[in-house]
Amino acid sequence: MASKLQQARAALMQAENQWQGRAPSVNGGREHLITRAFGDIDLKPYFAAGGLMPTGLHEIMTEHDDSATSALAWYMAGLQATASPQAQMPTVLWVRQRKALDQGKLYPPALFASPARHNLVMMTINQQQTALWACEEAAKSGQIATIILETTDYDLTAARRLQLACEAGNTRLIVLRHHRAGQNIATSPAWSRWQIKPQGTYRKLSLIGGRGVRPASWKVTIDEATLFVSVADTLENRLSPGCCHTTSAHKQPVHA
Amino acid sequence: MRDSIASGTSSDTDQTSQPATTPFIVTRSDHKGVLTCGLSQGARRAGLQPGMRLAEARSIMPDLVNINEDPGLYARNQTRLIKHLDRYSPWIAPDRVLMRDNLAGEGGFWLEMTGGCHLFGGEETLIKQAQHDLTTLGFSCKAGMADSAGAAWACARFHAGDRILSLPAHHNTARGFPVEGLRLSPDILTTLHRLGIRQLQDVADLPRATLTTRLGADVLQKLDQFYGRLPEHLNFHLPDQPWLIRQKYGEPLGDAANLEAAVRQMVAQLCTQLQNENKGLRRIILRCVRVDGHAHTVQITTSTACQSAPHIDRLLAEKMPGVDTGFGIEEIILYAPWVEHVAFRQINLDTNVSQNGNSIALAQLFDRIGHHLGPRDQLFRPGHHACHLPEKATNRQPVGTPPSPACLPDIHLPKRPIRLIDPPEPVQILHRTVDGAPATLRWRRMDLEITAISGPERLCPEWWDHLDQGGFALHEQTRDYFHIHDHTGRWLWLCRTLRCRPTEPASDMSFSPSFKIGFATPTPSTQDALSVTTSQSPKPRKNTRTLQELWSVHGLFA
Repeated sequence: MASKLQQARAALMQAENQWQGRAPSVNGGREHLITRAFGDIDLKPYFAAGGLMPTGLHEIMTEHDDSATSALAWYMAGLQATASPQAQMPTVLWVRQRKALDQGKLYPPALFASPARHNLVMMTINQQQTALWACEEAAKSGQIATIILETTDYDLTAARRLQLACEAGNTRLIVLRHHRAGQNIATSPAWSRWQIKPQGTYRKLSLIGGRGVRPASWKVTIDEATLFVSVADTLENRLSPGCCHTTSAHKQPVHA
Repeated sequence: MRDSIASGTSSDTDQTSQPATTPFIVTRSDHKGVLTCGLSQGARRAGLQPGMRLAEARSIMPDLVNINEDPGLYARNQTRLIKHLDRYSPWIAPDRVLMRDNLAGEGGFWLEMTGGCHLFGGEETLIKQAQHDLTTLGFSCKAGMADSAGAAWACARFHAGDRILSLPAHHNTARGFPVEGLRLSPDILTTLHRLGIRQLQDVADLPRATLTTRLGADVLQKLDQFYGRLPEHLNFHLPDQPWLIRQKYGEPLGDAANLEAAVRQMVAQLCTQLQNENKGLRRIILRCVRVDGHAHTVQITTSTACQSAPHIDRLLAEKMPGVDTGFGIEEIILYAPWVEHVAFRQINLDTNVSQNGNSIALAQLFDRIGHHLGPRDQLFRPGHHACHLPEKATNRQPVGTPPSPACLPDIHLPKRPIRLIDPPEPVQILHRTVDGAPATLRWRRMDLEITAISGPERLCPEWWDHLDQGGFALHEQTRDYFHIHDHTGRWLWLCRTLRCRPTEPASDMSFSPSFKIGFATPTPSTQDALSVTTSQSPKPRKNTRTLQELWSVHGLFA
């Protein structure tokens, strides 16, 4: 009797969350797609779904500059389709596998200055197996808004499990996935795949793959204080596929 | 130093509502007849002795009033006294041997007063206050204070002076105590008296081997405990632990499924009790005692106060496979040693919950994850520690603490890197500009050309840790931090420290550059990116000491 009551309460609470827009509804949150990000980039043309999926697995390939990758992950953790006033202090879990990325560890005082008010919880884990298990458990529970995972390379099975767990709990999972230059990028069921590289005094943000994704790249800057990733020069990016290529995005999806 | 205060109480005037002037005795029945086990002052004065038969007592005093002993009354009075004495010390041990064997209606308590006497105005004032309190309650009382429990016991009864015994100083006083102060059994005391041994010094001067042979080991043990050479184990009175459930099984549980069902039932019972009292447990200990006496203990700690039985069941179920039932579990003890008050939780659709779910479910998730982690894995909430040294500026807080808004008191500090390399990785300066700033450096076998540099930001060691150091500027732990932009586009956080060298440095200037203090400090300045945040540079001195610069990468900026 008590368990049935708890189930009913949980269902009611989830329904209320969805009604108030605090949690994306089922079906991967398609109704709450993120259409604008990185300053004011219109993401619609690059995704067959019509925007960046707010939940599910997203990967950021890191090769050379782990700090920019970390900043991008932190920025993407705070991306919302619509700013809702009730959504205060979402929990962000940063799972770090030791020695997965070799350029130091996340330094929280840099995040404290950022205006994104997140309830940050960190994990440092020795083995990849434990890290993946913890992420799956946290994603399934639905209690955590975004999980950021630093790990060594993992196989398709693990990625699929993480994706399913994210769909079950409506959680966003951002994986910092190490990638060597010249190596083939392993397949993955991730919704989107990103890469950020230094380019002169700017950085080049690339959308390199995903499900129904049209690749693109932008020249961006990262604000060191607020950790906002924004397009550096809109004029230089004006030739990127805009509204006129909206239809072609559906024709040429790239599966990476 | 350990101070014990022993107070001997005689509860004769409190046992009954009889007027104290009428002599009366408390009697107990045994297989031989009726025995005296408590006397009033009037009965004592009439010549009655403890342990005397009632018939003998009546032959001395025909109109004697006798009352049957009530063991429950003793227990109630003892509890009442412990509650009263609790104001002096939380560590109170009743003298159980005296309560059991004494036939004069006496009782006693030890109070552990180490480090607490000054709170009551000193030792003499404390003793007077305790005596006054117990006299007010209706008990006659004698108190003494000494360094060991045995000495305090003897001091309360046989000390003629201020009843405070400090053993090395008052050695002669202690030697004059009668042997009854050693808390020996009546048989041994009789033997000692027969031998003419009446005082403590007589026992202490005898050869130890002879004493053990003639009288047993008890005398030497009590003597050593008196002088503090052996420890004394007192049964301190502990408050009742209501959060304990003990279940014994006549038919031992041999099946793991049965054991699990039994544990689940007990957990549900405990959680119901906790919910009724508005409490939540932080730690639970499960002991499964096998028929062969082996006890398997499972301990679980939660991040927040928990009163949910399914959650505890789930946590316990992960550890239950480690319990070996063997020939059967005959006893299960479930104990919650750490219980906290839980604020009233209203389970409703309040909007004051976080984005996804609520804090209870989040804490339960962290419990589940935390119990799987290995010894080197960490689950924490990053916090800010008020320290300028980068590696000490953050600390780890338990996840159970409520999330505080991320506040950084030193928000006006220069920017901090998003990734910290700890410990810093040393780099080699390959080339320098004319004013001494690094131009090319080698890090991880990569040659990096520096295109922009700004700084330094000087961080001195904490002055309270280095009170003897005069000049912080040249201290070995003083660091200068620079932001450098390399040719690959990364912003690195470069750290420079100085290290004193007693002798002249080697002439390898290209890889371990060193400079004399007589020169100006190499102020890094390049084309246009110089912004000195701290303009505190070392003063030029006429000193022949040489300092070696050590450069290292301490972090990466976003």
